[in-house]
Amino acid sequence: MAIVVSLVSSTLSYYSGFKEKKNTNYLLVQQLAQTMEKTAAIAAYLNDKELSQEIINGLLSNDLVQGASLEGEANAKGDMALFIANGTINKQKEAVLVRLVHPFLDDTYIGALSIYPDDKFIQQQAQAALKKEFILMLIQSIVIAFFVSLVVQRWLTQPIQNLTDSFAKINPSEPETLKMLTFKQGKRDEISRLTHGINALMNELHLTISNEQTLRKKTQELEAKFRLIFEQASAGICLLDSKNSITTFNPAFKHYFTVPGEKELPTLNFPELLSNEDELQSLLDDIRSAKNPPQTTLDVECKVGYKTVWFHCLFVRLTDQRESKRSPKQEQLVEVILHDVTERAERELQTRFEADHDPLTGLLNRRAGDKRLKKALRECIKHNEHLVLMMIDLDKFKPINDTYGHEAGDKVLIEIAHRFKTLFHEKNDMCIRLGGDEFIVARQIKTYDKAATQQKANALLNELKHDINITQNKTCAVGASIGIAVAPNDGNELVALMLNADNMLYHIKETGRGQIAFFDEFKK
Amino acid sequence: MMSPSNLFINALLPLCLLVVSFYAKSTEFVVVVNKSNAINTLSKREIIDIYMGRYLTFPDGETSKPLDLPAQSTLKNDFYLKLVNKDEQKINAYWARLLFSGRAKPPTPSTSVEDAINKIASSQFAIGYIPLSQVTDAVKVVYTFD
Repeated sequence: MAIVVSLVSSTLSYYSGFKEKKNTNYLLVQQLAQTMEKTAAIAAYLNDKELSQEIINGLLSNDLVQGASLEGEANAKGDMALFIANGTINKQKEAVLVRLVHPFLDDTYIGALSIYPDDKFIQQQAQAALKKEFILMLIQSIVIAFFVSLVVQRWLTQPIQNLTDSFAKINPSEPETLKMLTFKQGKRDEISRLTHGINALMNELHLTISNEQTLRKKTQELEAKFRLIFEQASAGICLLDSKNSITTFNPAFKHYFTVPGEKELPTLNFPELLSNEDELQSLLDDIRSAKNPPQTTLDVECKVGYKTVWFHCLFVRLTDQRESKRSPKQEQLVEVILHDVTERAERELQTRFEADHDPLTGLLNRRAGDKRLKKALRECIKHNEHLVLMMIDLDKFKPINDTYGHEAGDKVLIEIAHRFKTLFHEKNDMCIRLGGDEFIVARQIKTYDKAATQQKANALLNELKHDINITQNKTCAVGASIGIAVAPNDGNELVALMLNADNMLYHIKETGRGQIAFFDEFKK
Repeated sequence: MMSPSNLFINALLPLCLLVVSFYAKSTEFVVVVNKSNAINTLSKREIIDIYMGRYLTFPDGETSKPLDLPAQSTLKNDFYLKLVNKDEQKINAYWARLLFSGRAKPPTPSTSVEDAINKIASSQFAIGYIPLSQVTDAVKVVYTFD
């Protein structure tokens, strides 16, 4: 680089120097001409060829002169009195021309002296001078370049190299390497300040990254815990979006709802997954509206495959704590936590069943029967329907109990209950054991047909009369009396109705057993 | 009565002195040639060319032989001052310069004005200068300085 610069500058200085040299030489030649002017004027004046020749030769002996000529003014006749020339005189342009004044008459010119400078010689001289100058300059440049590069190496390159080396040791993924770069203390140059700046930056970065890592570690731990809770929970957990679709669920949830042999949930729509779709839909809509409490529970029955499963569901309205600006309308998520409560539900059903039924016969007991009858009666009055109530009392049951023992009596009761249920097995039929050998069979009907009722009662009576096997080869038979009261005709209060039916029963027992008595007939 | 010497002293001497001093100040020269010379007049330039050695002939081609008055004389000095505005020393230097080269030669010296007149009178080619006051019939004036 230095060499190129010195070359260029040398070339420039060569050209300018050449010109200068040329000018100088021209001046010299001019001076030379002036020196010879007087003598030349005399020679021209005298037309003296020898003198002229001498002058020309004298001029030519000068290195600067390539050629010279001396000519006299043309005289009146037109011929040139004198022309002496020597050397190369063809370059008219470059000639130094001196007009020669008459030595004795100042206003008269008598000739001209032309001197042609030797360009080649001048050039050579200029070149020689410039070559020297160029070499000097080159040496100077090289020396300067050497020292400059030495200085640059010492004060700039080396420190930057050091800086780069120590910078290269830093691995951003390992905060431990983000330590101070080495630099010479107490220096105030740019590199030290740069190093200082980098150190400050790295220190900050190191802190930030460390914090970040600590936080991330914490977050990961927390996340692992939450994930453990979420995934290992025995309760099924899922999140529903605004369309009641399941967006997230845990393994327990999947386990609950996956039909054995299948791998995926049958549907992602939550209400469809459970049995009572409409109820759930309205419940979910309710929980989403802000005025309702944010959580509610519901026991839901569900069919998974062939199994019926009971779930205790806790519905929670979730409000995103972060004010996300991404969705202008905040999405209302619902979290559902559900437990499999099939066992408990079944046990509850069992208990309720046991509480409501006579353990021996499986018929409704008095208390539950009472409740059911009241309910049926209310419905009949409300819907303008009829309730046929048959009060039944077994005949000749006590002797069996006494003769064959309680076990035989129980068997008779079980068989009788079975016969009731066989005849009255419709949805609105009720078979109740009031106690001992007293029963009620009731039927809720839309239109009351007395003949049909009577026929049914007779059929029951006949059915009951059939033999009952007590042991393998012992049979016995019982009879029954039936008092019938029909609501609302015979009373719209259960107590009154039962009393009326009971009265009819007594009436039968007084008049002869194995009969059917309608309360309306007795009234008349 | 005034004696002739007295007359000379009283009347002519101042006059002579006046004349001499006038001469000393500016001698009037004429250039003269042999009577037989064909030239009747010469220009100042032609006289210079002949005297300074440019031409060795008269304008009509006849050879010319210029004559000088004695060296280091006031007349010679004055003449050259009038002719080329240069004193004798410069004229000598001019000729010295041409001594070793060239064919030009300085005019031939004469010993006095009379000598010069004689030489001119006797030589057909001679040309000389003499004070106007000393012109004789033996020579022909070809040029008079203003």
